[in-house]
Amino acid sequence: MQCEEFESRLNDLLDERRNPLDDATLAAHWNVCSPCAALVRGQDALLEGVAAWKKVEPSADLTERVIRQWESIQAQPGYGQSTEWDSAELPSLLPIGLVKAERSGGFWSDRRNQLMAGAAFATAAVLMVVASLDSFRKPGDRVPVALRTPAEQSVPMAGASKIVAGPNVKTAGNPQGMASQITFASLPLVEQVTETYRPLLEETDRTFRKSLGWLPIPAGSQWLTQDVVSGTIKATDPLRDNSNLAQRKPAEDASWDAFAPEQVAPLTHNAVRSVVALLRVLPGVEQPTHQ
Amino acid sequence: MPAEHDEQAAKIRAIVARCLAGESLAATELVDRFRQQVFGLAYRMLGQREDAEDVTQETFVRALRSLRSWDENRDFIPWLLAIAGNRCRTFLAAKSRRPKFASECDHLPDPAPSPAAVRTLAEEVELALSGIRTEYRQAFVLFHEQELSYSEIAQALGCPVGTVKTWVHRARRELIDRLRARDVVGEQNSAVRRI
Repeated sequence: MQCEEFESRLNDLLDERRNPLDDATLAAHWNVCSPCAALVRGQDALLEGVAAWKKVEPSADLTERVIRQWESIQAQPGYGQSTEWDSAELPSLLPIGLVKAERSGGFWSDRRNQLMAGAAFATAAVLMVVASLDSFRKPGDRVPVALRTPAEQSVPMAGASKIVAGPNVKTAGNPQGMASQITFASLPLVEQVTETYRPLLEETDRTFRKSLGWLPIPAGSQWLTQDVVSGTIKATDPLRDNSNLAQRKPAEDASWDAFAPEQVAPLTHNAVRSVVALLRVLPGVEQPTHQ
Repeated sequence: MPAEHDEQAAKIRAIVARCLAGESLAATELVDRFRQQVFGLAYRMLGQREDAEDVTQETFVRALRSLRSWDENRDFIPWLLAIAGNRCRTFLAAKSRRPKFASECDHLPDPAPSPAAVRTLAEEVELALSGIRTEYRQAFVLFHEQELSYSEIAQALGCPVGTVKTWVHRARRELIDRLRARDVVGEQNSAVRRI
């Protein structure tokens, strides 16, 4: 046995949580090879040291502190008023991934600048809503089939009809005559809301994507990210690997503000709440009920 | 063993479902169930009790906030430990950027093991562990102390099983080198002990 084979076998045994000291093949080698004997002694001492580690216990009140903090988060204004659109629809409509990595410091490190930027985003959201009110679909309009998932489409409808979205909805190529049966009013409330204001939300998303490129990410940081399509989780150093950013999200909580919470959270908080608040007061939108 | 694993997984899913339904007792149960494991990892990663408690608290709050994003078809522990590992790395990165005088003033009652104060083999291993790369350290602790399988560690670290194995192997090798450098393990002076 060569020394490389010895180390490889040693590792295999340790990986299988078996005791290498009981292995006759290894023993035959270490009896004649002092470096490998030293290696086995080292492994033995290492694992003995690990086994002797004292079990560390957290403070008795740790659970209480966690729950207290958790409850205070839940008690914050807006938290848990989980209408379907702000808890589920908005994140899916704002699929912003890892932001462009830059060195920390500068404009975005200043809290006043963050607040100003948050206010600017909120104002921009208001302006976008007001400016585009005329172009939004209204109750009674028909909804583009393409925006619904295949599973939600009726079978005869799929691929058989073409509906042009927009205020002046038209239908074409509808041999089954089913398109006219799907009206805006027949959709669930949450779909009415998201379909109505989808252009606004998508525009907000694009604005955020552009601006988030300026945000700093601390140097040397590393996060686990999850590919939103394949679900693959991998470790990412945002300073080195910023490819395909829009397709990634932090694995831990699918919340993109986790990348740079101090910088991003105030912006998203303000902007998302502005949009949600607007959704609640805009004409043509019934108030969703809590589930 | 798989039956036991399935039973545990079903219990965790039930607790998570109750948490999502807003039951605060379920949140307490969840934290109590995993606090030792999360704290143990944080403590080995950070070497400071106080820091480990902060990170553990942050980990659980984040986990509770994000429970909806947990895929119940996957194991819960690797998901939770992934959050803990991320929090530890972020904490270490932030700490390394802090001015030196601030970090020296922190945690006076619970200092990291200093080479001179180390007396036992366990402390020697702790000291050696504090000097190796973060990924190696995390993989080593999860495998050897927390006794997770390689596939669970791979889920928690977000990398292939082969990479995790490599990290654990390198961690062992590097730790042994460090123990040798401090004369904890002799080169020639003792026979290999039989167990």
